[in-house]
Amino acid sequence: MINKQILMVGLGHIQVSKTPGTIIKAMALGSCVGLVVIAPRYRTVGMVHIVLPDSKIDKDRASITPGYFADTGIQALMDEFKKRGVHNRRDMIIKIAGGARVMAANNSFDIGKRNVLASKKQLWQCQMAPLAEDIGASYSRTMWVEVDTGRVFIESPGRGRWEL
Amino acid sequence: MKNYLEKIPKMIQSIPAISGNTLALIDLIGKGDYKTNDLAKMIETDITLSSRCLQMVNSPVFALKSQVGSIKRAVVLLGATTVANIALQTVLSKALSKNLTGYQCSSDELWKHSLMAAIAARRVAGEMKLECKDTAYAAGLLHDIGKLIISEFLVEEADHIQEALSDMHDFLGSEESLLGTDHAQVGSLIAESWRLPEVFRMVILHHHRPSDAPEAFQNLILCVHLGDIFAMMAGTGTGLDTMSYPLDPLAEKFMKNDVAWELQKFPKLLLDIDVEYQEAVALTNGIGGRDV
Repeated sequence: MINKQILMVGLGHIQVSKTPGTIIKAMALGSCVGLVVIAPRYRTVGMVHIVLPDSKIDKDRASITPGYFADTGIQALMDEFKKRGVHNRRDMIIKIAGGARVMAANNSFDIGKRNVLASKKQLWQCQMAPLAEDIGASYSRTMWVEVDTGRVFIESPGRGRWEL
Repeated sequence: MKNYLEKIPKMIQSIPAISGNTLALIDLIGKGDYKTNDLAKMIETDITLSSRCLQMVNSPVFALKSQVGSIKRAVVLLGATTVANIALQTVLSKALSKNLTGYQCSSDELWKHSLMAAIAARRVAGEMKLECKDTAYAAGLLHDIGKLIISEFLVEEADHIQEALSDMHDFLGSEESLLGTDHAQVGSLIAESWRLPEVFRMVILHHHRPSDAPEAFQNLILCVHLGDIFAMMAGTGTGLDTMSYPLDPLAEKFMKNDVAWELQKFPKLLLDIDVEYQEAVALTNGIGGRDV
């Protein structure tokens, strides 16, 4: 029996794996976005935990931890796949979750929405788009992807677990 | 609805009391004008606290050139504020590391949330150029203390939680409608029974609705309100209720008045908060404490 290994994806972190039995997981995404890439032909999956939309705010931080920002994070995740031989965007399936909003009378201060929009913009520039998404609303989501199956799951306290 | 209000006084008694020294420490930080010697004396009289503080001070995070053997020396090297916060972090990490089953969160989540909210509250106070930065930090650590009791009540109401969540715009309102009280009210009662200074009772009571607070406390409470929300946004919540509280009109007004806030100041602040939080976590782990 293969031991399950969980690779946690902290804020701004990126994880990629093709090791059987591995699960890649981001805990309690609030306004952050978890972006998963699945490459079925290569049996490889990966995730980036995006915190903010735009790396222009802190170039130094972006060079140390590119995953923090939607623009540099998605690029860095794609680079990780390239290193593993996955070059063709048609070999990649994208799924995103998170981007919850802070409730406010006039919908101000919606960093979650801006994170989602910036992620989609970056994907668009790579000629890609998410196949599935579970975004917005006002609750946190834990998201994970299994190397063995490529299936992506979301869990939220009080709301149960579902597949994306 | 069961009469939960009746149960509260007994439950407050059942919460492990924090030591007299901790209360004195919170009191000192709340007053904000403490003297270095008072602080050192207070920490040194508690052997456990003093040894844990020294372990923290000597951890690689502070990168001191030589080993520090006394609290007085630590205060000279790191400053009274840092040492006071280390001491507070040390004592409260234990009190707040409880399973909040009713909120469906594990034993370290309340502590992690409180730590990040405290760090964020202090950063916001700095951003607002307020003098009460340390009070904001201490109040941030304490703001959700009422959840220790409300969690028990939510366990009893587990069958009705779904209903409350589906119709939810504000978890505080859900607590009130399910239980007849909420974690802010109960938290302020705990603060009262611990005889914490008024400022902490006010922050705990109004941390979700600073605009309801007396004007004299509003700025400080706004810092903790925002610190709480930032912690939830960054994935450090307490389970069921994470992201389920509205931004107070006072906070909206504050952000509206500053056009650079959302696009520039907030993102930078969030980065700084995360860095400081990771350091604080490393500090706690470095002395063999809990894995925060």
